[in-house]
Order: sequence, then C-alpha cells, then structure tokens
Amino acid sequence: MGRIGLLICLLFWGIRLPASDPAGRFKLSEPVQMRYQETRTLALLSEPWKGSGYLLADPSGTMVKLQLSPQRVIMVATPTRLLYFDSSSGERHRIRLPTSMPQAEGIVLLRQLLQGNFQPIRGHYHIEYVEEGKNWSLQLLPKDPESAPFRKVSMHGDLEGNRQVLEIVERDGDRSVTRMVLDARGDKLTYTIARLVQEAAGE
Amino acid sequence: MIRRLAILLVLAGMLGLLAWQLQLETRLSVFFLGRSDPGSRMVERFQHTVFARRYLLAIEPEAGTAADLPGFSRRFIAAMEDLPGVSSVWPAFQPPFSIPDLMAGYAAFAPLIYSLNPQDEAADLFAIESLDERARGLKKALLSPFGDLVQRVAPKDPLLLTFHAFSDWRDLFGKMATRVEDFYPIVLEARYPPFDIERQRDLQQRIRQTFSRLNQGQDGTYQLRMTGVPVFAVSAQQRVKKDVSRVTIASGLGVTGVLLVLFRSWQVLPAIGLVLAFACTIGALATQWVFGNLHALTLALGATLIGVCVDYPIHLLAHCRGELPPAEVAGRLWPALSLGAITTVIGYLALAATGYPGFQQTAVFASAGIVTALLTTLYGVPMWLDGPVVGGTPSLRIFVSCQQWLVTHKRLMQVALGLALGGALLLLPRLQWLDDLERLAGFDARLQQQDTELRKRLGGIEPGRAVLVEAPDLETALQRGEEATRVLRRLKENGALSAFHPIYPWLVSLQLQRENWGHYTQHVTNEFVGAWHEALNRSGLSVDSLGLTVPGELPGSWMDTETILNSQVKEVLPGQVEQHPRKTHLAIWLGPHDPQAVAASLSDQLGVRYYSQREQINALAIAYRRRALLALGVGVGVILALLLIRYRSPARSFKVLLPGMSGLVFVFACFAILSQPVSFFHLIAAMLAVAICVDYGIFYSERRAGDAVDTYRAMGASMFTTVVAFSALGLANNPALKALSLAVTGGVVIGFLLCPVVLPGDRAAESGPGP
Repeated sequence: MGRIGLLICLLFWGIRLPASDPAGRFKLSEPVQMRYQETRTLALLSEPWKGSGYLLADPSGTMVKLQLSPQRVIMVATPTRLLYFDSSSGERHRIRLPTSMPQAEGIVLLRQLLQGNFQPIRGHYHIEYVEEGKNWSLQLLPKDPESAPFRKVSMHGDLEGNRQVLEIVERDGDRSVTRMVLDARGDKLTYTIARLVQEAAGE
Repeated sequence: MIRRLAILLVLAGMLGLLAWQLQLETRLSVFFLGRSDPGSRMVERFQHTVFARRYLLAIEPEAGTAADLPGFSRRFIAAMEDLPGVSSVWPAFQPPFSIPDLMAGYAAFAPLIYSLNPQDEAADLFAIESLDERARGLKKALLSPFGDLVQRVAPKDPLLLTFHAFSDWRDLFGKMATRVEDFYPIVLEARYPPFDIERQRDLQQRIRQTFSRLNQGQDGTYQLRMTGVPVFAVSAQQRVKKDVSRVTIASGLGVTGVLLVLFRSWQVLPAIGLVLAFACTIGALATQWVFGNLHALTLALGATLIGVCVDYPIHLLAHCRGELPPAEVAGRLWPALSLGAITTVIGYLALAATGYPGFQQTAVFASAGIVTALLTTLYGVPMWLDGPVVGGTPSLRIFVSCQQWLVTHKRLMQVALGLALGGALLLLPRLQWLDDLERLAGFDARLQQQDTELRKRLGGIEPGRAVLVEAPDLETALQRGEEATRVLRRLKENGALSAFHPIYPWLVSLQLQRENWGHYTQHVTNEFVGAWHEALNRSGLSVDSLGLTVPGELPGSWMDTETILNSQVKEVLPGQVEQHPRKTHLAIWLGPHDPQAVAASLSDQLGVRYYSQREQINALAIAYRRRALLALGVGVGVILALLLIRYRSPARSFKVLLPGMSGLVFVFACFAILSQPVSFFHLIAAMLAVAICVDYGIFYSERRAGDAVDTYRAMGASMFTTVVAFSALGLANNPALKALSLAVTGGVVIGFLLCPVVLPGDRAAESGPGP
C-alpha cells in the first residue's frame, strides 16, 4: 500500500506545475481521477504481474486505488485507516494508522507529502527534484536503507501533468512500475470517492 | 515519678521497635483474599510481571466522534514518552514487538507446528485437489497490501501452514482494528513495580497533568480514562488510608471525649492512655512478627480494640475511690477482669478460626492487645497511680436511672424479653446471606466498571480468569495445555468463549511436533510436490522460490521450546509460563466467556482447571460463612464451658451468657426484617458482641468491688466507650467495616441493657464463688 500512496501522492504532485518549493504542489484543490497500468516484478512470481484501474484522490487526503483488472479490488488510504476490499472474494481488511506494517509506513510518508510537510520526509529521505525541458523528475533516496520500506522511489512526468510514471524499488529488490494518465478532475469524476470508501469499509 | 519515667521509657522503647520493624500492607486482596490457593498465587505472580506495570489508557471525545483523535493521541503519546517513570508507551493496536517478525520466525518450523489436530486436519491441509486454489490464494496474498508477511513466510513455508497454526491468534489481532474516531487505546509501561504506590501515584498525576495540558489546547474536547493494576493499587491504598485515619481519629477522639464526660477528670486519661498505648503497640508488634507485615485494615479494626481494652482500666479506676490502694483494688478485680479478657480473646480467636486472612491478623493483634491491656491494668496502672483517683467514679446518672428502672420492672421486662426473643427467633430463617466478597471488600466499583468497559472494547482478556495448567515438566505442561486448547477451540465454536490466549503455537510440545511431522511426511510425497509445482506454474509463481522438497524421515531440527522461551516470544506471553525445578505452570488467558461451560468442559482434564478469581472468591466467602457459623457455635460453647467452670452452676452460667446471646438474636432479627443481607462479617461481629457482653454479664453478676448501681455505672462507661469505638468503624467506606460496626454496636447495647433484666439483683441469692 505504501507504493500506492506514494504513487498517488507523486502523481498529483506531477499534475501540478513544478515549483521551486515542491511542498506547495501537494495541496490538492479538487478531486482528481487517473487511469493507471501497473507492472510488478516480484522474486516470488515467475513472470511480472500486470494490473490496471483508476486512482482517485481528494483534498482531504483520502486516496482510493480502484483496481479493475485482473479482478476488482478497492484499496483506500485515509489519515487514520487503510482499507482493502476484494469484491470477487469478499475479503476485507482494515488496519489503523500508524502501524508497524512496513507497507503502511509509506502511508505516513504520503500524508506528510500531501500536507506539504517536508520536514519529516527530509529526516528520512534525500529529495532530488529536477525540471528539464517539458519534463520533471523526482527521487526519494532513504538515508537509512536498512529501516526504510523502499530502497528507491522515482517518478517522472510532463510539466502539463497529463502523464507520469512511478517506479518503486522495495528493500528486497521487488519492483513496481505504474504508468498514469489524467482522466478527470473536479466534478467530472466518473467514480465517487466517498462511495468507494463506504464499499471498502463495508458500511 | 521514677516509676512513671520507667514505664514511659519501656513504652518508648517498644514504639521505637515497632517503628523499626513495621511493614504496612495496603493491598485489599491480601486482607480479603489471602494467597493460599494455587490459582490465586498464579494470578498474584502475574500481577508482578511486566504486564502488571502496564496502564491501559483510553482517549475518547467528550461527545460523539472527533476526526483529530488519532493526531491528538499521538501528541499525547509523544509527550508521555518524556515523562519520568515511563518505560515505553504505544498505541494498543501497535505493540512494541513485531508480530509479523515473530510469526515469520516460525515459518521454518511450519511442518512441526502447523496443526493442533494433525490427525483430523492433515488430509484437508495436504489435499492435492486444493493446491491450485492455494497457489492462487498465495499469489493474491503476495500482491495485496498485506502481503509483506506472506512474502516473508512463503519462501520457507510455501503452503503457508504457519498461518494455520496461528489461527487463534489471528482472530485476536484482528479485533484490534476498530473505529479510531471515538476511542484511541494506549498502553503505557511504567518503570516502577505496580505496588510501588508512591511513585505510581506520582506517575498517574503526571499522566493526568500532561493530558489536561494538551486537552486545554483542544478546548477540552477529549477525556482520558485509565485502568491497570497500578491504578487499582493506588486507589485501594488511598481508600484504605482514608478509612484508617478516619476510624482511628474518630475512635481516639470519641473515646477520649467519653472518658472526660464520664470521669470529669484529666487525671484518668494518662492511666487509660498508657493501657491503650501498650495494648496497641504490643498488638502491632505481635502481628508484625507473626505475619511479617501489618495490614492497614487490621490497624483500623485494631482501633476498635481501644473500645474493648479501655474497659479494664475504667473498671479499675471506677473502684479506686481511696478506700483501698489501687494495687489492692486490682487484686480484688483480677478474677473478673481475667475471665472477661479470656472470653473476649476467645471471641477474637473465633475470627482466626474462620481462616480468613484479614481476621487472622486482627485476632493476633487483638489477642495480644487484650492480654497486654489486662496485664497493664493489673500491674502498670497501680504503679502509675499515686493515690486515689479524683473523679474516679463515672458520673452518668442515666445508667443509674436505667438500671433502677429495669430492676423495678424486671418481671415485666423478662416477659417482654421472652416474647421478643420468641418472635426474633421466628424471623431468623428469613435471613439472606451475602457471599459476594468483592462487594464486601469494597473494591472501587467505578474503577472496576471502567476496567471492564475498556478491556471489552479492546476484546482483551478478563482479568482474574484463566485456564491453569500444572505439570511436573514443561513438555507435559505443553501437552496438557494443547489438550485444553482443543477444548477451548470447541467452546469458541459453540459461542461459550469469545477469545483466548493459548500457548500454542508459540510453544509446541515435542509430542505434537512429532505428530505434525509424521503426517507431513505421509502427505508431502513426490506426487504432492509435483502437483504443487504445477500449481505454482499455472498461477505464475516461482517454483525456484516456492517449491517443495520431499521431506526425510527426521526434520533438520525440532523446535526448541527453551530457546523460544528466552526470546522475544516471552513478551507475547506475559505471565503465561512459569517454570520451577519440579513444576511448570501455564496460564491460558480468557476473553469474555460462560464460566460454567468452560469449567465443565475442562473438569475431566488431568492437570488442567478453570480458574475464576471471582468464583473462587465467592466460594471462599461461602466457606468463610460456614466456618464463621461454626466458630460462633464453638466460641459460644467455649465461653459457656468457662462460665460453668467458674460458677459451677448451669443456670448462672446461662444467665451470664443470655444478654449477649439475646443481643445477637435481636440484631440478626433486625437484619431479617430490613432484608439486609448478612455476611460472615456480621457473624463474626456477633461473636465479638457476645464475647464483650459476657464481660458485662460477669461484671454485673460478680460485682466484686461495689453494689449493683456502681457496677452498672462502670459497665455503662465501658459500653459507652466500646460503642463509640465500634461506631467509628461505621465511618469507614469499607462495607465490611461498616457491617462490623453495626452488628457489634447493636449487640453490645442490647446485651448491656439486658443485664439487669436477666441477671439477679441480689448477689446473695446466687450460688458459686462470691467476691
């Protein structure tokens, strides 16, 4: 889930115009919806796994990953909870945040990014942000690779904020690459975040 | 003057010795419950583990929900980390040890621990036809946001048998995920032992101050609730201390005031004070020596001793009117005083005979005190007094009038007494018994309710209830614990038990490991391995990383329970495993459950028993009541025997005993009319009242140093002080002390009033020894 959070956060950073202080870029002013395609390369898989769906986020800090292929799964990250719902099997998980689960530590990082609170992030990561021509790139390198959930986080995209690619390398070498394309924003979203959160929570 | 100085020096020496040796105990459980049975001992030991140093704090919005509750709670946690006395603090749903880390460590042993019932479960667990589905499940788990643990377990345990082994615990961990907008639980571990009251109290103040400071910044949005062994310990000590100081001050001031009113002289106070000081000091020293400590409640009950012991010097001083030197008066009074003291000591010894821990202390305290008071009265007070006592005769004319009226209307009163006694006896079968020792002990009900609520919300264990396992060695204990766990699982399936903390699979007996391995080798064959690899391929999983090999006859190594016991696993099982050279105890903590169903299901298990502190306590209360009834009967019988020896007349002995016994019957009849439940405390109080009233009977019957009026006046003074002292007990918050107060004062007043009615006014008419 950490990588989901980072993906979303970095995604919306990418949507905004680059600035000298990247903190301001994380303040969402309206809900957004992105199409995504994800490829995960895990040591325990004989071949890369592919998934696709939509990523949604709103200014309150709630993020939803709606996976539609290979099966429908909703993952929600709020400031206090992490929800998971596999609608094909009915499997549902819910954990509080913060938690000691490594994946969820990424959520903490994500919340700090969303709030534009770079102070704690700089305590754990070296941040490198570069703009070049019509593109930008960002890298978070952990100061203590032994305890960080991710060995490396990098993202690049166009300055117009339409396309981004996020790559995350985990501590054990597992890797995921997510390609995102802006789909809708404001009141034009085809999915309702609150309804997806309710569905994931089973409320 | 020299004699007085010598006496004071002796007293000062004893007080110094007491101050040096005294160890004051304030735990209510020690006084009310003792520590005799193995279950209590285990629970008590549990109370001294690191677990008992933990507070459970809950932050809640004053009303409804609050979106910033997690943020506020984390700031509170951060602030508490710096407080002196705090070892560590964490959200209750995020323990300081990593469950996934610990579980991942068991993956290598999965073929040894995977099932509690391998004989029944192995066929399903290793069904070849289920392998495709399992491989798909494995892949899904690896890709889910909760896949971290699966990723760590799967390379060593591709079939994920570890999760099957931990199924009981998975449910427990799952319960921690509840709403966070209205309830944020925090665990705080103190550096101090739970019963280091002073420091725990300071820590609790610091916690509350920190919370208030932060909460002020939030306009008082939140409230803090706190529970845990140290919270109960501090509360109990404060309540007991309040009771002790209230009772001793009220008793001391009350008795002093009564003495001044009665004797209208300051001269008597030092002499009486001397007797009381010696009695209380020797009583406390004797208790300290016998029990190794003195309970504060014993001290409170001991304060009533003032009301009993004061009778002896009052009786002596009342007769020191100048005709005879005090030593000679004491010489004339000693038979009656000694018999009175012996009967009172018998009353207190009846307390000890109940086996009730607090009363055993009180009996030693009181017996030593009474004997000391008697000896000080007979030898110390005459040495202290220089001559006749000014104002030595108690002045209360009301007693004189009372005695004269009762004697004048003796016949009428005797008839009335007979009728009233008959009616009262008919009421006795309606008495209701109260056998809830927790109610009698006066544990803080508000704190208990808060504790129950908080633990219920966390789905935690019920304190004081457990399945206890005992065996000569760890291996046998584990086997018995596993058998008990099988039963508990069935109870959980039936709904009789909501949750439990088993030892399995953190520790697994060698027997079960062998059994698991045996079934594993039977099922994981070449055919099974091939099918698994095909299933992996079909799901796109790596055979290199998740493949299996056909197991050999023996595993690489067995899981070593001793090594695990010394690892971080002991943090997960606080107080649940206890090893002694020839005995091992295990405890399986229980969540909310049906006590009868659990007890019945485990009744035929060797070395296993259900332990419920509450049921144990109430069973104890019933046993105490039966023993108290027996003690009452035996006590009255012994007193009657002593009277028979003394008077050699059954009629006279019976009459001396009758006022006290009548008092007992009337007091209990009142309880029956008022539907006031009666406990063994009331029985014991009645025994004390009888013992005290027998003194009055003896004094009134013998009248060794005066006529009936003088004697009755002296008895009235004694009764007055006794009633004042025992009434002071009624000021305590503790229900048991209140019960004692009511029963003793009621019995004593009635017994006193009945002496002129029951006993003859003309001594010459009586047979047996005279003055």
